[in-house]
Amino acid sequence: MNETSSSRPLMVGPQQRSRTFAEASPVVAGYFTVSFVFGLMAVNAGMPVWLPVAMCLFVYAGASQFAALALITSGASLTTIVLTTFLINARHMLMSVYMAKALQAMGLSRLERWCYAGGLTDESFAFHSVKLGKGASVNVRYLIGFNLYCHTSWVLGGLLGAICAQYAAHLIKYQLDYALTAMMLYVLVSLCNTRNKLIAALAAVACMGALSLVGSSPFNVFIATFVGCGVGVCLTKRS
Amino acid sequence: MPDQTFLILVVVLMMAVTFLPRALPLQVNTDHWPPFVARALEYLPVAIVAAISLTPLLIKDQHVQLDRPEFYAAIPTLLCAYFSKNLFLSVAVGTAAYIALGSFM
Repeated sequence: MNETSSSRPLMVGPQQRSRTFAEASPVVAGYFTVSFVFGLMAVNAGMPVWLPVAMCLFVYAGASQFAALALITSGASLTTIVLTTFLINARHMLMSVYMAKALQAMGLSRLERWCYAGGLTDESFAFHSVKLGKGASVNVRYLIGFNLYCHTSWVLGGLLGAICAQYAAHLIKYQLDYALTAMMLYVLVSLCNTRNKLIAALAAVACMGALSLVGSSPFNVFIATFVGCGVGVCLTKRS
Repeated sequence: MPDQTFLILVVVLMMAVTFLPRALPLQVNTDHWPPFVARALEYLPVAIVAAISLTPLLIKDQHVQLDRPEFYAAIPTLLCAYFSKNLFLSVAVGTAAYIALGSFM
């Protein structure tokens, strides 16, 4: 089963690996910087060195990790920390549902699905949905490899930040993390390839914006996404 | 420093609540989903990426705040992405613009 599903690679071995790495490199650079800062902040907040590394390895969630760090240092309860994390990361359910449908044709095995899910982040989702939407020849190795490069750099950044904490506290160069934002913007432009999609995107931003002005809640992104999809479906029906 | 068992529990439980939302929907068999779900899902990436990437550039702390390098740097990034269709160039332009604007503003 595995053999047949991944038997259409255009390139194998080092050639594919370096192409995958090249495509993941903006995410790799951005993740490294952000998690470096995370490691630095965690150790400077009095956490043991293993904590940021373990979080980067096992939790692998940007905003949630920073939120959890703030909550731990302020003495919050376990329930609060876990619930906050769940709510911040709940948006990944939407991405996972999309991927369930989009990856159906590739016939992933159970194990491949679990592995892929472990590396699903905002950035990898954004990047992969462009690839899948274009109908580009994508295989499981590419998808999981891409995620592995990103995850590895996230862990290494956290580790290095934690180790360098006492020397590098004044060295925080926070600015490379804009690479992630720039990448998401590029992806957004690529995704808006029809007029309907552009309108759906604007509807989602308008909805998210209006909700964020009222209050920032993890549910905002769900509502905005549903509104965006709803607008898109209405436009499809009309044309 | 909070005690070790507490921190280990935090990491383990955080792992559970971040991994399961990512993993469980992906295990669902989508063969028998009604067609309108597929039509709606077609718009999911663009809607969610727009919502999570653009909104924080426009709004901060429940207020529209456009006089920030994050917002200004997004303009050349979007233009570059649209006209060049080149990821690396767009990321380079965006990051450079952000750093340059950050040192002025």
